[in-house]
Amino acid sequence: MKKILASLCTIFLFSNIVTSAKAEINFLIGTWAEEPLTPFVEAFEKETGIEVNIQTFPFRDLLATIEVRGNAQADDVDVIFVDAPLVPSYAVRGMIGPMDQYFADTSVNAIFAPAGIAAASWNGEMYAPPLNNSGQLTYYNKDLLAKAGCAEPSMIEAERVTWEEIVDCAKKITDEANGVHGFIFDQISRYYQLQALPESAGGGSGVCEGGLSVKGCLTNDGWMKAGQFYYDIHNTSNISPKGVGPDQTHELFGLGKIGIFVGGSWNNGRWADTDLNYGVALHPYFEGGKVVTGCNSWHIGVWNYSKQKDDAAKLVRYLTASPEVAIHYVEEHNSLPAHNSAILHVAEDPKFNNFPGIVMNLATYESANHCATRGRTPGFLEFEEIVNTSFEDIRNGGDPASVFADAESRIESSMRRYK
Amino acid sequence: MNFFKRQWMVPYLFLAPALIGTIAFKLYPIFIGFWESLIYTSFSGGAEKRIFVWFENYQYLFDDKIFWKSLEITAFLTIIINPLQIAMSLGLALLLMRKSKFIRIIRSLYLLPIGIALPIATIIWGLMLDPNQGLINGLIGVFGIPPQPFLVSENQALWCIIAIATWKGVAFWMLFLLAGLEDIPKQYFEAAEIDGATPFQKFRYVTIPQLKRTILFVFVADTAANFVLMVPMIILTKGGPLQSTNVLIYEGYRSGFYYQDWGRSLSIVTILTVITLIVIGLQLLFLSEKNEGIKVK
Amino acid sequence: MIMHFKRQWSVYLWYLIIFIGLIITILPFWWGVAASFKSNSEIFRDLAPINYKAFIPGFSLDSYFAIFENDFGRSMLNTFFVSITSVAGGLLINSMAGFAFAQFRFKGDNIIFGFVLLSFAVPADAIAIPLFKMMRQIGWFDTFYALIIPMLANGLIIFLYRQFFLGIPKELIEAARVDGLSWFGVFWRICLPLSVPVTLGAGLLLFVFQWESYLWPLIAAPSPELHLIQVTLGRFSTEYEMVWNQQFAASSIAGFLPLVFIYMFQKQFVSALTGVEQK
Repeated sequence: MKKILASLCTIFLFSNIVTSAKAEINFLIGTWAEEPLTPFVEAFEKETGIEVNIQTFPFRDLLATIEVRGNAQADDVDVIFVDAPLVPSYAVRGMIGPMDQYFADTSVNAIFAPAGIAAASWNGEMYAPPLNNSGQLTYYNKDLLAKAGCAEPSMIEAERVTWEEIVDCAKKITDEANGVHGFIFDQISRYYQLQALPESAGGGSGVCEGGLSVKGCLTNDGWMKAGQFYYDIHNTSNISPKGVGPDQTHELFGLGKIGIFVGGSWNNGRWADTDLNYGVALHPYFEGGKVVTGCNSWHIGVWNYSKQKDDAAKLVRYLTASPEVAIHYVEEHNSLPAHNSAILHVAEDPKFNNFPGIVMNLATYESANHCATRGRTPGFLEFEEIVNTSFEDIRNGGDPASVFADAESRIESSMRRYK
Repeated sequence: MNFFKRQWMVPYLFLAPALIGTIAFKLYPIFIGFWESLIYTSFSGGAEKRIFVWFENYQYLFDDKIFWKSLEITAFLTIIINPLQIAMSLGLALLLMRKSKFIRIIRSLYLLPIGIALPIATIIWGLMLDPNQGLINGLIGVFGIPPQPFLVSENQALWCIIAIATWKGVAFWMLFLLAGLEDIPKQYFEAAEIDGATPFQKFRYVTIPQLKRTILFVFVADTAANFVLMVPMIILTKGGPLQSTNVLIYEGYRSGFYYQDWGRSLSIVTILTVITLIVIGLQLLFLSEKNEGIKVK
Repeated sequence: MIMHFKRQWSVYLWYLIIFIGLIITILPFWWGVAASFKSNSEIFRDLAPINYKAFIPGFSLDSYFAIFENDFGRSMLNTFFVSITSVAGGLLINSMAGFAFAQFRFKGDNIIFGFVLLSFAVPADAIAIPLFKMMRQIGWFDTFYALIIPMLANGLIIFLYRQFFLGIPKELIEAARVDGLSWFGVFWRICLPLSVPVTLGAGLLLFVFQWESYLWPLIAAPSPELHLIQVTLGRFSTEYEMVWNQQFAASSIAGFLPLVFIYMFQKQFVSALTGVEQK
């Protein structure tokens, strides 16, 4: 027994001490992207002779790891996945470097859609080009809508459904005794999705011009209207259930417990093996308001403390700017393209003209025409966290005016660091 | 062994390995953490500046009503959860002292929560406490109680977290108390019985005094553990609704790992550490035997 | 006859309390196990609204196959290795320190004990970042050393042993000293053998620390070859959702193993209990 333990010790302790002396690029990505990206990383290695070491992390862990490595100014990271709204945060804190010089020989505008470039940039410089994009749509349960006698929401711009219509219909569907609710947000109580509400009501992103303040920008009429709307659907008309987390919403819709589900394009295909009879339509807006949807997704950036920035930049450019990678990523990962060639591909390939492929087409359309990039601020980490909790508080019965006023003063005080 | 002949060195030699580990891997990082709590990091003008500001971060906290609310909730939680858990653990330990054919299997089953990591326990309890169709609402419905909001209610969320932590913690602390009960010489009980003591008297005059050292350990360890309880907040409530579960450790964690405001985060942690030390110190002061080492037989 | 009935009555009451307690203790675990044999949509179908089916296990082993494809086996081995090493090393050095605090009065003992208290009063996550930087400097980053060695010295365990050793009669130790036993001999031959139950408790504490640790292994040893169990559990999620059944499958296994350990040692842990039995 002792012998076994001793030899185990030796194996375990020494197996990982041998670190390769060869220079390689360390690439931190999300677990979900490993499968679709690996073949292209391998192709890149073959093409350039640069070795790439992929390290994968789940979403929350990825952000935490990046912060911890940044805090230690670690040089054993070269390329990182960047969540779109965090570009200003990483840029201001010197964690990623500007990349324009690596795209000097080409036109960035020709490669990427404008929303992606906007999200990739800070202070007029491009830091992290986009890998993909995202979009929001209205999914609805055809059977529940028919039973309630609602008209189905439309895919046509001129007939786009309003929030008011959605609430009316959801009221008819809601049957709390049987656990059926008329409506739910996919990413419930998350700024990413809920930003569309104040934006549509004319309240803006919540971040003031310049990105260093929120004073008056979280408490304006648009935000108040959005807050009141969010309060009402959970506390007055009760068309949307409390307590359910963002991990569970699509399951409820899949079970036929939800009438209308406003959610991400990535949900497409999720309910393929259920007998759910559902349809898809354009994203709602407030009557008389602006048409706005959530968008942007993952970007890739060069780690500022890297010792091999040129090689790192080559990898970033290879993965984001190659049309093949972009198209493959759309096909394999079911995610929206940020690359113009892939956008064209979605528009032209006939399989995206019929249900359910049309989801991709619609979302691409929404994202191209009605994208509201999330609030651009170096303080996005704290901004998002506080706004998310505020929405959740309102959902649980907090008074919208005082909750947003509180949030505004908290965020304002934490932004003193960037002024 | 020559070393051991020099009497004064003996205790230090016994202490050395643990002490070196403690200094290197606990005290030094604590010191660094404290040092960093005196630093204000500014990114104004696009460049990172680290400024030594003495206790300005603390001053900032004292002007922050979020901090005070958080302190209040931490105090409330501490006062409720620790006595509750100790009482339940002790009660359970006494219950499980009884002889029964199935006692071994019963004890093992009671220890199940030890094996379930807190995050998973939290997720499961979160689903059971669902305000719409959760199991608990189904159960209390049988008794005619209307559905409760639980975790989404400002008034109930903290109690739910207390319940989750207690579910997870009682078995663990109960084990130590069981071991302590085992340690009580059985003659004491026999002597008490001859004197005609009632079960309560036996408990009060034999069990409690004999178990005092174990209880002190469990009390201190449980208190320290509950001061850093934040997994249910991270997973279920995010400190809400309306900051009703926003304990200090969570506010500190969030300030650091979410907001990247390490000055604030480490100030909160330092304050929390000082509070913990004071509470533990008081427990030791009031519950330790004064004449330690001398045992009455 | 009445006496007999009274005693019966208290036995029934005991069984009733024990039974209710058991239900509360087991139900969540049982539900998790049952759910681990289902697909994700099945889990939610039985939940909304909740019905008895939620507690009947499904038949699907998919989640179990899936987790072992995701290197769950490797992370279990790692966790066992790290836990067992930490338990062995931690028990030794902390019991020695506890012995010193209990048996000797020496210069600075109160101050040093104060530092021991400080070491467990500080939240572990709070010192993770400085410790992380330190690991990088001494080259232990991303090795098993980082997972094990900083976790060995543990103020709580020192305190636990101190409390226990305080209860060992001084006469016993003096007698052993008179017989010519060295101090280490006293510790090793007299005190440690007496402390089997407390050692098992301390071992369990150290084991659970490692078994439940998440943030530290995540940042200190990110390589897949070094993943510990909680880090792997966190990976059973995709970009937008949690993979519920895999989470439950992994935690069913992870939750079951410490139990086996406890069950095995339970006899030693509470062996004398039968003697203390109150009639």
